[in-house]
Amino acid sequence: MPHPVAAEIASCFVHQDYSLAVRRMLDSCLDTASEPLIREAIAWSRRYRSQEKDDKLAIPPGWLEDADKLLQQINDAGLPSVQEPIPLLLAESISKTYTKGNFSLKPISLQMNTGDILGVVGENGNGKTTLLRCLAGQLALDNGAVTYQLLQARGFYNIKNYVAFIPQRIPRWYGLLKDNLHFAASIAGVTGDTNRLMVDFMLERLNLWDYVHLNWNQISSGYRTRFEIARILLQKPRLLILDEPLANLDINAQQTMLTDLRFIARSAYHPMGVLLSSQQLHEVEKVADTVLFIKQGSCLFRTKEETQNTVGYAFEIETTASRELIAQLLGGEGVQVHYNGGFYTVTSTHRPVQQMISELVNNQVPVTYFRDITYSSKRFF
Amino acid sequence: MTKRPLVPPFLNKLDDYLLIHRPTTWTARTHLVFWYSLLFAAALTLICFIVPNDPREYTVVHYWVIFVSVVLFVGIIGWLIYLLRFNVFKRYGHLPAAYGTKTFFLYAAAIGSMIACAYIPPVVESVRANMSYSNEEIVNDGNIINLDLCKLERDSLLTKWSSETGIVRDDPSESDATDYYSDRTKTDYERRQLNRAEDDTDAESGNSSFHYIYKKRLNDRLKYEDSVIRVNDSTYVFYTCPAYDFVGASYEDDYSRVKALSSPAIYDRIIRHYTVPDGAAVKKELDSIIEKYRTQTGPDWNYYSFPDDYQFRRKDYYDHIRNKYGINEVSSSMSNIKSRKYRWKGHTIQESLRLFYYLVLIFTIFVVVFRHSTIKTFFLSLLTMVVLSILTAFFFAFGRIDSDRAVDLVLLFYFWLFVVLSLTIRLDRVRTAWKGISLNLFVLGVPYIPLLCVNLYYEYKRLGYSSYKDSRVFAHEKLHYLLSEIAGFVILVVLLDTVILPLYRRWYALPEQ
Repeated sequence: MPHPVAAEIASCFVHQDYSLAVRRMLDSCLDTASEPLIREAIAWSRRYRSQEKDDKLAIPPGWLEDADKLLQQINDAGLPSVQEPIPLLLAESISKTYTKGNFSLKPISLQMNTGDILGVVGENGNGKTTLLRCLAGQLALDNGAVTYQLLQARGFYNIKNYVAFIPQRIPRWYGLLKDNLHFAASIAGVTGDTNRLMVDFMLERLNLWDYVHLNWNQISSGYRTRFEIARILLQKPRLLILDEPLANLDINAQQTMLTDLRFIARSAYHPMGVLLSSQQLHEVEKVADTVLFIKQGSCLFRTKEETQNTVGYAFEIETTASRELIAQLLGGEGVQVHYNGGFYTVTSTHRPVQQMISELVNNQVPVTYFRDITYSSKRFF
Repeated sequence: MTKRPLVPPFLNKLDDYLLIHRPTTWTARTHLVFWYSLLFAAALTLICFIVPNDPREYTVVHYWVIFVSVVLFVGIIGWLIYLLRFNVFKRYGHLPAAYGTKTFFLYAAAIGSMIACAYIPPVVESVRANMSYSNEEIVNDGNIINLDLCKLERDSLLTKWSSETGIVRDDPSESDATDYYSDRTKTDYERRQLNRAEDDTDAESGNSSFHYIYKKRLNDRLKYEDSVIRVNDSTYVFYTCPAYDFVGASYEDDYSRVKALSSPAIYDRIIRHYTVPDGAAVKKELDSIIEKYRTQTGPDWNYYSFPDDYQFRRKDYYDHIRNKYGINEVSSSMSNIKSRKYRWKGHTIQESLRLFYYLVLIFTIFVVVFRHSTIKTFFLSLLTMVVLSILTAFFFAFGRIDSDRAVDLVLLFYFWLFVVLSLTIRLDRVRTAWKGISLNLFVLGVPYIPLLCVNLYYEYKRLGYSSYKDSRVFAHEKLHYLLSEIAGFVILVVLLDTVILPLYRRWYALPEQ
């Protein structure tokens, strides 16, 4: 009986989702904590990466057979079962007012466990970064308290070790990128051959091999973000806080990173919590367990809690049909249609989204974009 | 792959090893500093050996030292910039046991290897002088010149010894007068003159044909005077030989198996039983030696151009003979050779070591502060030092305070103020720049506090004793200063991991406002 993760990877091979399969295979090998297996997986992955540059669907000869062997070894090694969530951080009514300026973050409480991904969304200048920095121990709180529940020793130095914060503007790296990664691992206590292995693993896992011998000025801002994540992951923090990590990434890279964050957070090898802020709220909502919507320093909405209490329905459509036709088809009691120049936002107190979209399709209204935002923070933008 | 220019493969391997096994050691880059210092030292040594350098001429090594110091300062700045790249402490990494002490000594070793290069030009110059002239050769040449001059100029020499009568009297009751006879930094003649002057100062008689001598000095006078006749138990006649040491020879014969002939010895050999020499042969020998010490630039007329006793014993015949044979130039050349050869003897080596120690210490502490503080706070600390100095100077100027004790007290007050402020970091919830400045200044001041305390102690002692010569109180002054310097260093090293690093660790990680 294959392990569910092994079955998931095998399914990826069947559907030719090789890129995803490679990433999941690497994660699974890491979860086994078997260094020979990790080394083998890195070599196996590199064979695919070298072929991938030319054709994403092309695979090296014998590669799939080797994948089967690896899967078998993973099964034999015994993947650890997914751990129960462990409390990582508890913030109780934390608030912050800057001495200069009139912005203040109103009291916010939240709890994070291992494996959790918490998204923070909101418009610019509404307190997202302030909240993240307070949770990372970078800003002093005016009120409330943050408890880092797995922290072994007291002290802010240990908190900074426990929590990794990646700012939107990543500080410049000096020297070779690879030296920086080795350094990050070694100061976290990962030394010797394990250090080399983990750096190789991280480079392979985040697909950074082609850039490793360059320096900071020679890579794009998107790759800088990826290298910074690789560096932070090598330091094995318990909580990873990222401020606008998607800002510099292309649309494919955004998707890859978000799914990677999901896998990393739930890794059996080193489960952690991930807290990120972003303007890409749909992408964040797809991957986050909870999304906080912050406006003018207050938390207006949090998906997990408010899902049960959501009143009415809402969706967005983009269509070439006239507003009158939309209003005619969907109009009625409790239905409101707003047009922002790009797409329509339709809210209804009693008609479910599926019913309304069926109405449009049945009347052959051309719909080029549709998104159900009933449970999304997008309703508050 | 070669990461850096001029670095051999083994060092690259070591660099890689340290990176993944010893990140704290790796970040200090001491291994690279050692290597580049070694390369620089080798190149500098080679250049110093190649560059023309006549030991007989006045040394210009100080220009070399200044030039090398500037290059080294640039090197230290470059190293500091390199240190900005990786920092275990500022990355909140795992700090190994004794991290503070370990990094302190790594920085000290790196800085020491750089600063040591500044000593290469004078060392090479000394080596070259020693290779060109042996210790005995100079003393021999000086003796031959003096003897030959006496042979050739017998008729011009003053041959009558001067005399003076000394009357012995009891020692002074309380003061232990300075004993110049045991002061080896002075020449025999200076020692005699100074003791004599002191005895004369206390003489009650204005009669210049005799002078008083304290009993305790009598033995020394008997030992050092050229000749003495004892008239009775309390009256002695001291005779002084005219000067025949045209080429001075004083301290250098301490390092030579051959001793320089004194004026009485020359008198005994040549004048007492004078026989007419073979003038041509003597002249030829003299000219060949004088030529040996003749330079292209001529005498440089510095103080050392003259024999040590010259200023005291100058006589007309003496000056005349020196000018006639160009002895000034010979003396100047010999003096230049000797200053190169014996540069590292005696107290000079102690001064050089002390200078080296303090340069390394000061730079190392600055690097420690720089590595554990924010850049902004580091430079604010330097600014605070300057501002405090100006304010203190104003305070002293307007308060008309002119006392070393006051300076010591003010410095101690500042230090303890910074200590107290630094200790309150333990209670802080927010990181503030001024606490960081206090901590930096506390660390910068630690090694000098015992020295300040000892200085203050002796300043107060000087208040209580009218005579500075009181040996019972001041006998161990130098030792106490030395011990205080050692104690300052030890205290700093002990505090590094027990107090200073925990404070930095707390302060740097505190959240900001």
